[in-house]
Amino acid sequence: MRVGTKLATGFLLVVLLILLTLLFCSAISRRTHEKLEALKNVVAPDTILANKVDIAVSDADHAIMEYLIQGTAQEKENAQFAFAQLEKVGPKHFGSETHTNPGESEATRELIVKIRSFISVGLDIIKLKDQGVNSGELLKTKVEKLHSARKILLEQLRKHKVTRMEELADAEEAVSGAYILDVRLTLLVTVLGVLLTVVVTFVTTRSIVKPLKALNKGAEIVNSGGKLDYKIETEAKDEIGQLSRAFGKETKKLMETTALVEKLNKEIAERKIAERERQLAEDKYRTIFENSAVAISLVDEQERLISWNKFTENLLGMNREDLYLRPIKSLYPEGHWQMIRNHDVRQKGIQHHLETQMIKKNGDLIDVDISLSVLKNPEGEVIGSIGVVRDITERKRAEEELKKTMEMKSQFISMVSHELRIPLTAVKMSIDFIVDRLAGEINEEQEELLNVSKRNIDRLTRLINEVLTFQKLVSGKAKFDMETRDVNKIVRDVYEMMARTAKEKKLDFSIVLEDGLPKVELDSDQISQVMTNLVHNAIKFTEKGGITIATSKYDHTIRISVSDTGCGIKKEDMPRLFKEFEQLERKKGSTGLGLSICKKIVEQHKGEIWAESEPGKGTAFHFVLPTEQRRKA
Amino acid sequence: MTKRILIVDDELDVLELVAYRLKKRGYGVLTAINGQEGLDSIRAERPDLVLLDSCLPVLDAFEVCRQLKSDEELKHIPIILFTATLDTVVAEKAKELGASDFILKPFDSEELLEKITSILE
Repeated sequence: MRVGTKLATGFLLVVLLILLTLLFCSAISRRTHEKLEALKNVVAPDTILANKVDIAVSDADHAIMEYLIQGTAQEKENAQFAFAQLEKVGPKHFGSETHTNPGESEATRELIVKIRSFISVGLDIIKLKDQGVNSGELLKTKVEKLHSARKILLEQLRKHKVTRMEELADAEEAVSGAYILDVRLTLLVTVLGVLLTVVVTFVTTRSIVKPLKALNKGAEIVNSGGKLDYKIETEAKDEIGQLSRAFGKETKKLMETTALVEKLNKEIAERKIAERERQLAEDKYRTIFENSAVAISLVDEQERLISWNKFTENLLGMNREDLYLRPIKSLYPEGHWQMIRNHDVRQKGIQHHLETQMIKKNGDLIDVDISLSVLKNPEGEVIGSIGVVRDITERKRAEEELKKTMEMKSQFISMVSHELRIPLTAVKMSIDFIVDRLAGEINEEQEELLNVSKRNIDRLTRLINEVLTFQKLVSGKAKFDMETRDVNKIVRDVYEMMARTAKEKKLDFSIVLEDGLPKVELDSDQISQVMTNLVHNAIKFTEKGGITIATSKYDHTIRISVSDTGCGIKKEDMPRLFKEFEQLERKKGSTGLGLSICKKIVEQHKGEIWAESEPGKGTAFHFVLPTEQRRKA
Repeated sequence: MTKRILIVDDELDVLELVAYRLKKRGYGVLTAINGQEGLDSIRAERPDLVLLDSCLPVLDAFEVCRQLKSDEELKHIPIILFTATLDTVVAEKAKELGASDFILKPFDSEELLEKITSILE
């Protein structure tokens, strides 16, 4: 049933009940009143009639008594008239149509009998008088009889009146009772009506409100951000039921919508953050772009300049009008852009780095270093490129100068070492000449002094050699003749070469060689130099004990160790050991290049060199050279 | 017969000392102070050995070697090269051009004499 129908039905029912109650009450009321009116209509004339009869009886009685006393015709006439009047008022009236209920009651009929009886006695007395009986027993009897009849009549009349009054009282009582009943009934019906109305209203309302409440509850739950999947339980078949079910569907939709909205909100929030970050990043990069001390420019797909920073203008000495939509090609010397393009930057999309030249507005050429990156749209199509250009004119100049300086230094060192050798050759030869007694006899003291000179010439020669060697190693001019050689053989050669020096200092000098070592690819002169340097150092810093050169196989490498029983190296000096020009205390009188040279040579052989030392007990230098196997691996 | 050795060096002190030393050893000594002079002397005197400095004016040592070795009559004459640099390139080039040996300045007189002896005997 629809809500409207429900409401209308309830309302109609209530109205109907109230109407019925009112009708019922009014019917009862009317009926009681009618009854009372009817009774009044009966009782009132009856009472009047009774009063009239009473008067008429008194008149008749009085008239007959007058007649009896006076006996005139007038009195006779009066008496006859009085009785006729009584007849008229009494039985005739009681029997007349005006009397609603003539002879209805026993009492009325009795009354009429009594009236007739009184009249008949009165008329008898008049007849007796007419017959001339003025006295006598008979008349006296008759008069007594009349009095008696009158007495009975009056009594009857009184009774009649009383009866009527009682009837009326009863009727009024009945009306009153009916009225009370009426009122009570009305009240009852009204109360019932109201109760019914309340019940009907309640039921109707409940049937409307309950689903509405459920709906409202659901709505509240949904509204307060609760579960959207809240299902409204309803059995109602009306619009509210439909509404509830519709509500369920709607909440389901709403749930989906809400989820979607939440997702969208999240996305929006994320996008906002991303946008903010993007904005920040853009600002950041724009600032970098604008304030950068390098020229940054952007070209479109037709290789025309579309955006650049201030530094670009400064670099080229051009302004906005000069640069806007200018083909980038025109900023480079003939063919240079082609060269840059030939690196397939745009095709491969890689960043490319190269050095070239650019033309300033005034035609000057500047040396530049360019980093080119291709710009692509999300579809991967090339839409231009970004170039970062640095002015390297100064750097180039500095590099050029440095190169020249280095060249000069190299030449100088070569020249010096060469030029120093010549006089040394002459000096040395002269001394040899004297020592060999070719210029005459010399004594032992003279010979010893000349030998000191000779040793120092050798030392000077070695220093020159060290400087030159180091210079070559550093400048990369040193040539390495790599040959597959037996390390043990080189060790033996070095041993033979150095044995005399060791012997002169009265030091034990020995070699411990492992048999069957794999051959190593090396430059024998250079490796000899390493060993010689190490042995030389060892001899120099060892006062007693001895020096040992040992070889061994060491994890795909050959290890060569030169150990001594010398003064050792302080722990804090170890890190500086292989640094060029580092003069450790023990290295007095040397260039400080010996170990640096060793290190450079060993590194050229892809080997390693290191030292172990215990101050006061001795030092061991080790270096390893990779074997063929290792090199191939 | 006395072996004759030609010394070619523009460093006169060295030239003189080497010459003096070799004379004391009993060799016949010829001297020249530049490449061209040296080459002329070789052609004229046909020495048994040439001590050639690697760094010579007028005609450099390599050119001297090249001409000497391209001459059928002279190419048998051995050459010992004096070098004053550690650069092995020079020595190798000299060997390529036909030099028998080389010696690095400053050298021991004894070392030089040993080399000479081993070549001449």
